Parts: sequence; C-alpha cells; structure tokens
Amino acid sequence: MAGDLGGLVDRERGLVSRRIFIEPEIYEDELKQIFARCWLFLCPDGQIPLPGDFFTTTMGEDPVLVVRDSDGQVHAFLNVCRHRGNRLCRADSGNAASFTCAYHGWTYRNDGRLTGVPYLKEAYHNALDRDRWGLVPVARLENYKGLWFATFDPEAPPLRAYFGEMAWYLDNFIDRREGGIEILGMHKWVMPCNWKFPSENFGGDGYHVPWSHMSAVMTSFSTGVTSKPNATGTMVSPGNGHVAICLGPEMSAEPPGDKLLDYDWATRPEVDARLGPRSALVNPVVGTVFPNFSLLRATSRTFRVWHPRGPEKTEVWSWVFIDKAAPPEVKKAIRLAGVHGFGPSGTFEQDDMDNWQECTRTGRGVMSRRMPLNMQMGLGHDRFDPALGAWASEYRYSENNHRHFYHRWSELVTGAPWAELASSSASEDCHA
Amino acid sequence: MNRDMHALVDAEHGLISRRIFIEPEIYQEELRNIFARCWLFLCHDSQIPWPGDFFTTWMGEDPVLVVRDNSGRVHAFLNVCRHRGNRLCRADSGNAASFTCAYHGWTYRNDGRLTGVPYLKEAYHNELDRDRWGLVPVAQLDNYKGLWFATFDRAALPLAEYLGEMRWYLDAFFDRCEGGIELIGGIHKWVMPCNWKFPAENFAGDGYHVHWSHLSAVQTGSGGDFRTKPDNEGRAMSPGNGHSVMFTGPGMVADMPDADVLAYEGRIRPEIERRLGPRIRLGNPVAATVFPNLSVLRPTSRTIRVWHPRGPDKTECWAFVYVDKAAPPEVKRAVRLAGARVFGPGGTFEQDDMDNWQGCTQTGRGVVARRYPLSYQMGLGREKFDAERGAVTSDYRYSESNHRGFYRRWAELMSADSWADLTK
Repeated sequence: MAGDLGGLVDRERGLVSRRIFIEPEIYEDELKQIFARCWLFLCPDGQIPLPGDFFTTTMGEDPVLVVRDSDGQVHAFLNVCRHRGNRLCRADSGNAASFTCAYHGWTYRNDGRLTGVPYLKEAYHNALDRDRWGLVPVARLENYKGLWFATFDPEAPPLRAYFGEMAWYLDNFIDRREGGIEILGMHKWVMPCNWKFPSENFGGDGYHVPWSHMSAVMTSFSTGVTSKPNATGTMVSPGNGHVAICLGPEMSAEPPGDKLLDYDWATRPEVDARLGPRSALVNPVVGTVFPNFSLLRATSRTFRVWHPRGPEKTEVWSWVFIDKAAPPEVKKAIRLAGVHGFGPSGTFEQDDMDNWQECTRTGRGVMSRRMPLNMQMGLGHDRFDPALGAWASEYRYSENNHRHFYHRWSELVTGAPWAELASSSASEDCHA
Repeated sequence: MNRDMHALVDAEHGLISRRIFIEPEIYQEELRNIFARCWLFLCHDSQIPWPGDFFTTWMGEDPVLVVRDNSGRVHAFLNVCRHRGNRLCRADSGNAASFTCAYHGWTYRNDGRLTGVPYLKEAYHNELDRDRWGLVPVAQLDNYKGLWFATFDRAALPLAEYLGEMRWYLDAFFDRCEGGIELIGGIHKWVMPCNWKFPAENFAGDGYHVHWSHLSAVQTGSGGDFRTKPDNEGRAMSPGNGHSVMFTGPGMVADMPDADVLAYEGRIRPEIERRLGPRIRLGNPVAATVFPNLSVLRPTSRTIRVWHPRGPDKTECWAFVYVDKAAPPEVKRAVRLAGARVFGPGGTFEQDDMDNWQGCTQTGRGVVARRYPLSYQMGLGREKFDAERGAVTSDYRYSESNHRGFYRRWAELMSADSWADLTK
C-alpha cells in the first residue's frame, strides 16, 4: 500500500485527495506509519503526581497505561494483558500498586513486571518465565515542561528535536508564567469525522471563524478576534508538520470580559520576558503538534488529542488549562468559557463538528472521492522567516500550514525513514 | 495468504498471533476454509418435528433454511432467492408448504423446487428452466442423536468420522437418558463485540478463568462452586479434529446448586453409567466445543450455543437451554431458571465473559499491540494421549492443551487446499 500513497498530496499545486480521509487501507497505514512512529501526547504531569498514580489513554488505537511506579519513575506500557490480550486497566485514572487482569487474574506491578500468575506452580509447572511476559513498554517516553509524550518507534528523534522550533510556540501556551499550567477539567467524546480535519483546523484555519462561528461570535462568548477587519497575523509552519496560527502582537485572543482581557494585558510583560524578543512579532493562539495534539488560547484555553477511531471516527479528549499562577477569578472565568465555547456542548465546537462530519462523510461517495480538495489559499505567498523560525504566510488567512501538515503526512505515511525526514524539516531548503 | 497461517499459530511454543482475531483478510479466509468446509450445527430435531416445519439459521455468514418437506424429509438450503439474492425466509421458525420471496414473488416448495415465477409466460416467454433455479442445497446433511449438522463441502469426511471420539463426549451431554434431550423455550440471540474464537476456545478449555472472572457470580450462589474447589482429577481433553472437552474428577458435583436437580442426578446415575459405559466413572464432561463453533455447557446452566461469526470483531451468540427429555417437570423448571439467571444476555456469568472477550478483541485494533503474540503456554508439553479417555489429555485440571489443539486444527484447515490435503 505504502507505495501508492505518494500522489495523494500535491503540495506544489495545493491539491489533496479525498481518499486519505475515508479509505480503510490508508487508515491502517496511518496507524502503522504515523501513530506507531510519531511522538504522541499522553497526559499532563499533574494527572500522575504521586507514586502509584496512573492514567489510561491510547496512542493511535493502541491502549496505553501511563503510571508512576512506587519508586516515582514514570512508565508508559501497552495497556494489554500479555496472556489473552485483554485490556488490562479499565479505569480512566487512579492510584494502584498493581494491575490485575479481569479475565484470568494475571497481575503486573506498577513498574510493568509480571508478578502474579494464578496456578503458576500447578498449571504452568513453574515453566512460565515471568520476566519475559511483563507489560510491553513504549519505545521512548519524555516530558516537556510538564507534558508527557511517547513514541513506539526506537528510531524516532529525541522529543526536543521532534518539536524543533515548535517548542517556542508550545511555550506560548504552557510556559507563559512561573509554575507553568494547571488542568481545570477534561471532556471525552466521539465525533463522526476523520482525525485530520480537526488537526488541520487547529493547525491553520483562521478562515472559517468569521463564517462558521459567526452566530457563536454574536452570542459574545468570544471576541471573534480573527474575524475583525483590522486583525493582523500570520500562519506559521515551524517544521516537522507542526503548525500554528498567530495574531499580531498587539491583539488579544481572550474571551470578552474585563477579567480575562485585563489579566492578559497585565501579564504580558512577564510573558514577554520569559518568551524573549519573538513575542514582540507574533502572538500564537492556536496550534497543532503533528499529528494529533492541538492547543487553543482563544475563546477558552484548551488542549486536545484527536484520537483516531477508524477512518471516519475521532475521539476527542479535551482538557481546559490555565496558568498555575493565575488568580482564582481568572481560573473560574476560563473554566466557564471552556464550557460555553468548547467541549461536546460548546457553541463553537458544535459548528466545527458538523462541518468536519460532512467533509468526511461525503467522501463515502465514489464520485465525490475523485475530486481533490482545494488547499491553494495563498499558494506561493509564504516564505521562510528567520525571526519566526518558521515558514510564514503573507496574509493572516492562508493554507500554507495545511500544505506543510499534509506534506509531512505524505512523507511519513509512505514510510520515509527518520534520517531522511530530519533534513526536510523547517529551514530555507524546504521550499514548497 | 494460506502459507502464513502456520506462522501465526505456533502451537509447539504456545504462541498465537493477535492478527487472527482482528484482520479482515484472515476473517474472509476463515469463512472460506473453516465455515464453508466444516460440519456446522444447525438445530435440534425437536425444533422441526412435523412436515413443513422450518428453522432459519446461518453457516458462517451464509443464511440457511432447514426444513422438513411435506414427505417428512429434512433439507438444508441457502436461504437465498436465486433471482436477486434476497434473503428468502425471514421468520426464525414456523411451518410452511412453500416460501415466497418478498421482492418479486419467486416461490419455492419446501423441498427446494422453484415452483412459482410471476409472469413466467409473458416476461420470461417460458424460457426460464425452473429445474435449474431451485434453492441451493448444502453439500452434506446428517443427524447425530437428534442434532442436525451440515457442511458446504462435498469432500468433507462423513459426520461420524468428523466427530470421531467426540461422539462419546456428546453422548455424555445429550444421551444420558432414554429419549435424549429436548430444548426449553426459545433461543436467546444477541451480538457480542468480540472475535468468535474467544468464546469457542473459552468453552473448549478455559477452566482457569472461572475462579477469577466469575468469582463474584459464584459468590451469589447461583452458579455452584465446583470449579473453585480442589479437583485433582480434573482434565482438559482433545479427542481429535480440533474438538475439546473439559472434564471434572468423578467426585465433583458438576450441577447447579438446586435440590431437585441434585436429587435427580443421583437417581439417574445408574442409567447414565449403563448407557455411557466405564469411561464415565473417570469423571464428568462439563463443557465442550465441537470444532469450530458449537459449544455445550452442563454446570451452572445447561446450554448449547453457536458462535456465529459476524465479522472479525463481532459474534452473534445463539444460546439454547436443553434438558433430558425424561426429566420431571421440577427439574426442567430449575434448569430453565438457571439458564435465565446465569447465562444469556442478562446472565451473571455471561456478562463477565463478554466483557473480557471484548477487551481481548478490541485491543488488537492497535497496530503495536498486534505485534505481541498471546501466551497459550499453560502446561506446554505435559499433555499426552490417554487411551482410556480416547483423547490427548492434560496432567492438571487447568491447562491450555485444548486451546493448542483447537488452534492447531484451525491452522491446518486454513492452510490446506482441501480435505484430501488434511487427511494425508
């Protein structure tokens, strides 16, 4: 299959085949070549602060158990019993010294070692080597400023190199103030769309806001900042498929209401001091870390994972976050904004879900599927900006980021080795 | 595709690939090489006693109509209209002289002959040869002690040979008393989100899960507690051709904890020993799987079930409750109630199992999880052929020897081009 996928993304002409959003064979390749190779977000540190704390998630469709063992070391394992393959831990999160499978009772310590096998002596005659049947760990696990990431691929570059210049843009969300961020809550739900539509939307789609979200903007939950006629900004691609939407530095993306706007302006000097001179050039408000981790600082503050669940199904895990150092009234206002604007019943979220669903579903039609999608906005009007460390669009609306995202997708899904990919990351030699 | 199968099932080392439980291509191959070749259970004689009685079921994903024609002869046909392929008979069971398709009205007599074609003269100009367009029969149909089986493969072994030594074990469930068994009430039918092989292997040889998976159900007192007690004579046995039986020692009471049932079992014991011979003194067969997808269970409830495959991660379970035909009314009542409490979609034991089978299947969607083989190593190398039992027998009551026998047969069938290949 891999060999057939090369022509589906045409970055030069801004054309992307609809097949990549609907066909099961391509989806299976995505699981193997993208989700089993890339660094994927697991959970914030704050969800597993104490020895024994665990959090269950998935990497692609593989169930994963993140756990801090009794000595305090964090691990990530396939959440799968080695005996008959049952899902081992069924809880969303909690604290446990060990995990026992519901089917036959095989028990694993929280460092992954298989310690309990019922009837080991009588039925296995002590012939089962328990050291060889412990939980399967991920290939690599790393933490960036309180966020845990893992990859199943031992060949993947280190996490910091994988982020590259995107690290600075990430800091704009999670390291604005001393102490970083804290989590205010989490929603999980399933949407009938391909995972790439939400990923690309958060990665570079400012264009839909004044239209899709017009009625929501009019409810005044949001300033609709990118919809203002005098708005400034640029779409940036810092490399490796990562993408971000930036406002001009003079703009705020906070929801209307004095508390949040005042807070934003009052903290800017501290933020600028931490983030350095680039802060005077752009204000990143939305972004996607390739492939499926997105962050948003407009309307609410949320980061989310778009878990793939088949070619036309995506499970969203959405967290609301805020600067740890923010005062209680700001935390409350952000939490409420999160509920109003985003989450399964959020006014903005519903606009998006409906559109992503139809973008996916019409692809079931074999005729529709023959028509490539148009990702040509601002084609040729983007350039590498050394001050931003990224490819940047001329105008605040552009599909520059989409083209970078899908180009990376195409490289990975066709099986390009990491060594080859590293040289094509963001720099002047990767012009589209 | 065929060549890969032995690589996926390494019975020698007790390692089995997860791919066989989740991948659509392997599932398609199963429909062809397992379900379109093996003898599959259809229904019990008591479900179609009269001329015209019919029962609709499935062989793999092929719909099948079992019917006793007006002259009293039983047939099994693809339940598919030859004209446009519509499912012909929509009822679960009933009595009919003929079957008319809902789409255009083609009509077949209950012996399979196409007798009615609307506008045969005007539209077909009498040129359709109705003799060539009757219902498609199965290749072979046979009955063993009231159980109807069929196969789509004309080269398959005769049923008696296919069952082989398993016949005695089936007798221990179905031929304990004069008159055999009868079914009680209707059939429970429901869909489970798991691969069909997980329930089939579970009933074939998994005594190991009972004391853990079902502990809470056992503690309610509805299930009997024999499996959680020491049973040094308990064994897992493979009588050949992929069939499997779980066996308790002779001292174990393998029945539901009901005074009427226990008293009844005591009373009929001499008749059982007379009918089944000396082997029954070695112990009691309590659960079994006839390869590939017919299972039987005696303790807790008395149930026969077919695990109909419905895609790699879906199984439609059909569960029948059975009882000795000669049993008194209070025993029949107790068996019926136990069946409703313990097994079936609302049964306490059934729910424990379904949840685990679902977890075992669905984690295989992960491409990384799929790379790690499952462990079927319990008691590896310790099973040996026991002439008295006529079966490869484990040396302990918990073992995965039956699982290994089941999957070895699965791999043989999946890899062989024909029955001739298999019996070489």
